[in-house]
Amino acid sequence: MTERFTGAITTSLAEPWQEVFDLSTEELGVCWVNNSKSNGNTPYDPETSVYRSGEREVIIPSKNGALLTAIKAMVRNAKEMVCVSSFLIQQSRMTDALLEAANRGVAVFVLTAREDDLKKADDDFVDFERERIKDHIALLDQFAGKVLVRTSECFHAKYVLVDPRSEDPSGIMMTCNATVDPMFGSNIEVALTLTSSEVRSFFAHFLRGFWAMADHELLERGELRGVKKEIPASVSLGHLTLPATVGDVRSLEERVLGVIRNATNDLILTAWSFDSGSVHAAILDACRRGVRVTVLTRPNPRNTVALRDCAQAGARVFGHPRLHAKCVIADGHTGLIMTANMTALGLETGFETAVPLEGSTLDTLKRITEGWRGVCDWNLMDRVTPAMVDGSILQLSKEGTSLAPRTVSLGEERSLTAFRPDSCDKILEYSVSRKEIDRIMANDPQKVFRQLTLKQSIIPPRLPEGSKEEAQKDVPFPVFRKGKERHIVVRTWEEVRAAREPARKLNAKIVVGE
Amino acid sequence: MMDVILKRGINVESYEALMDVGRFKDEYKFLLPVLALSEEGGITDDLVNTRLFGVSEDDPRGRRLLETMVGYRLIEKKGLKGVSTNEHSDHIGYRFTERGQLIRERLQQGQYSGFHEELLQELSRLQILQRTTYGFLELRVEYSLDHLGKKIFLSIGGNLPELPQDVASELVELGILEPLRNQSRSSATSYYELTETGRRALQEGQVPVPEKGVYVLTGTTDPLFVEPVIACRPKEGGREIGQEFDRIAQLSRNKGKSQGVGKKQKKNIPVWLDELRRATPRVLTLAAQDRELIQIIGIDENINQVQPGDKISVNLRFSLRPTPEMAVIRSDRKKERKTVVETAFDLTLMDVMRCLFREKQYDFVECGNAPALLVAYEEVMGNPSEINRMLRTTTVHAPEIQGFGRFDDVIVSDLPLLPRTLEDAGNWARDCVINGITTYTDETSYNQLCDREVVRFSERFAPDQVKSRLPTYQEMVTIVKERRETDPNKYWFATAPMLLSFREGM
Repeated sequence: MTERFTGAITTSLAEPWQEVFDLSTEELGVCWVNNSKSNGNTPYDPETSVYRSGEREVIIPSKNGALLTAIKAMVRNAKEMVCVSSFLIQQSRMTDALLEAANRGVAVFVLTAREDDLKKADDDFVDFERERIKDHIALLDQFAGKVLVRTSECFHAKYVLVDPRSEDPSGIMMTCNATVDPMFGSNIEVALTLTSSEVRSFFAHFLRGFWAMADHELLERGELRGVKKEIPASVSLGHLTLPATVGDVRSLEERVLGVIRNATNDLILTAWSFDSGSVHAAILDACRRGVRVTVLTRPNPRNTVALRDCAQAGARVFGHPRLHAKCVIADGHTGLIMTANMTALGLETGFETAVPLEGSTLDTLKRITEGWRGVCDWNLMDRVTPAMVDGSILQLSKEGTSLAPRTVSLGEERSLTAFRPDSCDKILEYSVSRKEIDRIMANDPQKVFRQLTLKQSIIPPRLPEGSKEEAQKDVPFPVFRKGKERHIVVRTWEEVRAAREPARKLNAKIVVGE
Repeated sequence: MMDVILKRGINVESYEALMDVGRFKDEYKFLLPVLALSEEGGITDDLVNTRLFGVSEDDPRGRRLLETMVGYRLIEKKGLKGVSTNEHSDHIGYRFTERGQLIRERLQQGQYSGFHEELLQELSRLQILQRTTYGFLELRVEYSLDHLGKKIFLSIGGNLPELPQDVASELVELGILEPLRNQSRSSATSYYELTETGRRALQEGQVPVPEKGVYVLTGTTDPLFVEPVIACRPKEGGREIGQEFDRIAQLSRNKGKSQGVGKKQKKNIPVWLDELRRATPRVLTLAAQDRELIQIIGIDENINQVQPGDKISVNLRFSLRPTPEMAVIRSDRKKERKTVVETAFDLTLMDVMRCLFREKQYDFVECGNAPALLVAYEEVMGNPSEINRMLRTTTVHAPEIQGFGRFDDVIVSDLPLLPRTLEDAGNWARDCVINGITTYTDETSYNQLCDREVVRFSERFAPDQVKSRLPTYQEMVTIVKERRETDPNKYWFATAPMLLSFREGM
């Protein structure tokens, strides 16, 4: 075994001592990994925002305002009534069109949330749109007297229906709220024009919300009053022919689970939120069946906790912070767009709708989801190590309540404070403590280190001034005394090793002489 | 419920004089058992001796006590040694049976509810009770004592008035009265009857205690008062003034009640006081003195006018009760006291309304037992409160009631209004149903609303007649659509159930 120290002591310690630590296999747990060069928030910028498919259009909300233009055109044609459902609503060209319609005698009905509902709403429903609450309240006051607004904390569905009772109804459903930024493409969203028969089912859905679920209504400015859930005797609520969540109806959940369970090769799910409910179990089951599962969602703690075992089971889970669209596509031939998240709030107790898709429209949607996948830079992985990361991660905390953003550092050097032992023999056994690594990582939590080099100067002890030599027959080195302290003086590491035994006997320190 | 309260201040005059006054107090209650003998066959010295003193019939104490009570003007001697007043007339005396006594007590307390309906109807037929019905949706019957009833059942002690023979026979048949036993026929003892004072003492349970002193009498000529004397209080200032009056009175008596002086005094005193003086002794209920009962025994001729101490006003309250209720309010600088008293005001509520709204006097009709005013639709169309409630609240300035003078401005609250013509009713009901759309209304609930509204006009017109003039459901929707700008709520209430419903064939 070669010795670390040889020769003259002072010469060998002229340079700092250096140790290299390899941390590339340190386990980081469950993380969203972004190995791209982007910041993980790449905007989705499709080549086109309107896809025509048979009798309908699939619209990608984007900067050109295609969605607002479509809604506005529809509302302008309204002759009898317009029905709107949106959890949040903000003044826009759409609301201007609604007021214009009201002014020309069209009856406009809106289902939305009231201030109290918004303030206590689950993140599933508002999250980054919380700052829109003030605008929402101000708009409701503008509506008072002109538009009949009814509210409930569960009115999460988003659609606009025009003259649904007429022979020529029209409508549009969307995954975004009727707020300006999302309608202009700040999020990853999708909208779909409705066929006549779909409008009628959506109307039946609206009627159930209006008559049986709303708990407040706005008749006077600033005064939301409670409503009795009494349905006038002559009112018919019609038939829900499309999957929905409303009241006791949970046909949307049944349909989503049906699509997942029938998938054989390929399954794509996108949503703002997931939980550990029925959809989660169905995804795990699909993974076990060998189905190639792709999940697109936003990286947040709740989704991470809900989807980590899906990732472990083989599902490819990708994230984008603005992914809000909700759809399911199985094997490229069956699927649906919906307003519901993949949670109990959306599929069991809420107020949600969906449009089942097939054929060319489904192909269109699949192409669109591929585009979304292209900007989803985050990949949810379990047992992540620094060696796997070439960019940044979002690391799930041990409690599962937060995601810590961290960047990977390939190699770094750090200097430690000098080591000053009182006896040279202590240098022989010295090495940098692992605790120093932990301290450095704790002080720099935003970084993950693959390799860390630590440097430290070592200052050997010297004979104190004023020491007096004393005679020691059996010791082959000069021995000095100052007070009660004895010192053995050496010059080389070999002498250090030879002086260890006499130093132990004399209870003396080994020091470097002049 | 319509409520009218007429108010006004009362002009009063006050006079002070040396007076003999009986104040009804508890101290002489020991005389009540003697007065009560009138209900048990008559007041005689032997009954006083045997029943009250427990001594022999001919003991002198009985007669002495009765003579003293004659001095107090509680009783008066009517006969001696079995000579009864009844013997000198054809009149048959009656008294209450035990049952009759019970009935009397309950009627005096105004308790009619415990009686068998047949008995009440029988007494109504004999015009002893007055039967009054109220309400027009739910008929309510109330009884009160009629004039004859008051004479019989509010009579003092056993002194029944002379009754028509047929009425007396019927009351005997009903077990209420029985002919008087003629005890006095074989007796040789003295027989006394209650005076008016005695009757009131027995009725009130208090015996007047005679006092002499200077009193201030307050009276009014206001026609609302049954009794012009409304207060009688000892003059403040103590005995000195009383002694001065004593001296003056003594002088006067010594001069032998000079006619000249009397006439001179009469010129200065009002009629009510002069009449009171001539009518003494008299028991009065003092309206402005908490209905205190007082016996004026005598008033000296020397009378001075003084400044009235209190302000007096009245509240005459009319409701659906047959008679108005009058409260006399006496106020000095410190406080106000209110007493409900009998009034001479004898007009019905309908009469009063016709007086208050003289120009509309022919537009009042009976609606149930209450007066209602007939109005044209145009008179109420701009007034949602009158349209919806069918009631009017208005102020009448300085109303005058013939025979009873002017009153302060009065607020007539909740005067029932009815449409004058069928056309008025139709227009009115249309406004009511449109105004009645205060919640989501479909065709079914609209028809129910129409049915409810037309019933409100049934006092005047058949509901079907009115309903035929109401807008159909579709017409109603058109009306509220036209008014969307001004009344958006109704627009939603009418259109939402129609629009937010699946149409057949969709």
